[in-house]
Amino acid sequence: MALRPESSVFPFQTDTMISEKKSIYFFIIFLLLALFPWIIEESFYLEQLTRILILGVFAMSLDLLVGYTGIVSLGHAAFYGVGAYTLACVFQSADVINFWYALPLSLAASALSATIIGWLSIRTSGVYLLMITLAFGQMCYFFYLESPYCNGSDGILLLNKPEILWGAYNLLDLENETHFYFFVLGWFVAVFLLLKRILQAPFGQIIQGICANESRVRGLGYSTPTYKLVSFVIAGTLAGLAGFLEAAHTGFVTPAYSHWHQSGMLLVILILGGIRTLHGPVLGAAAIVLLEDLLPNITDHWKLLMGLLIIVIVLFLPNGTVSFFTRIPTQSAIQYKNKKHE
Amino acid sequence: MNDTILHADNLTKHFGVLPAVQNVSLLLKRGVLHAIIGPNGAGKTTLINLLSGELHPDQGAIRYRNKEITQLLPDQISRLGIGRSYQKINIIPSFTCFENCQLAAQSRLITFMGLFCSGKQVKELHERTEKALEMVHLSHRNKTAAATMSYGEQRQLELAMILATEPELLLLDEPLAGMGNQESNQIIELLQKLAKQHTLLLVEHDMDAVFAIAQQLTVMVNGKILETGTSNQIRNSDAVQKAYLGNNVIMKNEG
Repeated sequence: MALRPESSVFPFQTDTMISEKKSIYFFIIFLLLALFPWIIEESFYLEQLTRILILGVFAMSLDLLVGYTGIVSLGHAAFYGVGAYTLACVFQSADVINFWYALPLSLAASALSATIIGWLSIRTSGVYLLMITLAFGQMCYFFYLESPYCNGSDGILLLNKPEILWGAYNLLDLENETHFYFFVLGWFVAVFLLLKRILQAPFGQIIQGICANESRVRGLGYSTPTYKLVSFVIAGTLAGLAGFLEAAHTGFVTPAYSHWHQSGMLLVILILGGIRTLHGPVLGAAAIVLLEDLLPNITDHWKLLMGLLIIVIVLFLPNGTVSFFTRIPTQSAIQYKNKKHE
Repeated sequence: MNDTILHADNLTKHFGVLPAVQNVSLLLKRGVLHAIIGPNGAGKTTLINLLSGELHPDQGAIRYRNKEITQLLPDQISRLGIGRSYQKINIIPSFTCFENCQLAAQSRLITFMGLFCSGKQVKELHERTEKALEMVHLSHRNKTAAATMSYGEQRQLELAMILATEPELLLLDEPLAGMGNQESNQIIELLQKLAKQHTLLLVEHDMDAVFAIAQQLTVMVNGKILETGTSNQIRNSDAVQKAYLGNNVIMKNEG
């Protein structure tokens, strides 16, 4: 292709050299993640990394909504809860959890709830959008708390892990934590690549256009509410996947999955890691999980310390921790580059 | 009446109690460059907003190619082949020049909401984008972030974005506003070129330009149409001279 604008947001036009270099980095990171169980043989760290990857999937799904589409949601945990509770409610007394039924069921339930909640929410914007998503999130929370099927605040205990059967053969033994780690890693990589693909496709360009100037995009002939809804449903479904993975991981589902604290923390993760990148939210998730683990060793008032740290990061790295490692071409950087060019 | 492309019939729009557009009827003929002039607050932009679906009229009907479009939304109207530009620059500043134009072009080319895109589609997309940028002489600015382009270039980019959607009717809201001499000459040249293949409705303050290029003129004052006719008819209309053009133009005309 003749045209590859350097400062382009969309990789199908970017300089091949840059995107190749980036792909190599990602490949190395994925390779390290795949080799992790052999590099560090302590199960505690494997457990932590599994949590980070699940939270990473959850955070990336919110980034599609907040960072790329401009829909700031305070109720994203609703779908996390739907994914988890669908697994827990349907299979709580089952002897065998068949993965091939359980996952599609969880995904379908979260996609359906995202379609309904999204359809009602995307008509609003700004503070009203925050409030309406918050309200829906809390509705889900109280539903799990009060509903006779969900066992109230005690939550539901899942005695078995899902079984990935192929005929009579069990493909992965999810009771084994290394196997479970690979199961989660597989989903993490799949979600990462899927979102990357979506963002590179015209759809990604359209939602980013909507994020920047919705009325203009509408004037060009795009039915913007439909695009926003599709983005909402994709994000909600992936959040449901994260909820499913977390439920299968801990074997324990409580209403706290959908509490607004969870949605709020996820927004903090996005801001901490770096909004509008896919690896940023994962970095943010890693930071939160590690800080939650490390800080309590220093002081009992570790949440205070964490708050301070977040403030420091927001002040000094406004583009998130990710900007510490890579230089995001911000508006001012592009301007500077263009001036130099002229 | 086959050469009528758009027929606005008796449009009325109130903002609160203020009548912005009152009983306005407009007939656009295929291939004719039609201009609307009038002082600030005459309701010209409101009329364009009504035609492009940004606003809906309180009364009246709009027919485009014999199809009622009065209550359609902006994206539906755009898809029917009506492209519009805005009075204020309306582009996506964080995109490059090329991406802005590509966004416009792909609105007509993608399938499955653009979630998946074949190599052939990408190629077609690039071609159409480049063609539109070439028409407004912006090909050399492909890689530039739109936010950093000059005002005139942003205006040109807006035109390129409309052209990339391949409309039949163009509604242009003051395309010459705030432009330097050279830039505005370029745009006028472009408008004349476009007028050969498209129907244009132009809202403009630059009287010299309007009288030079428009084949039909409509004068609006206080939300109403004062007069419609060719440039000569408008020049010689007493009502128009009294209400809008003022003494300068009359003198110039006589001189």
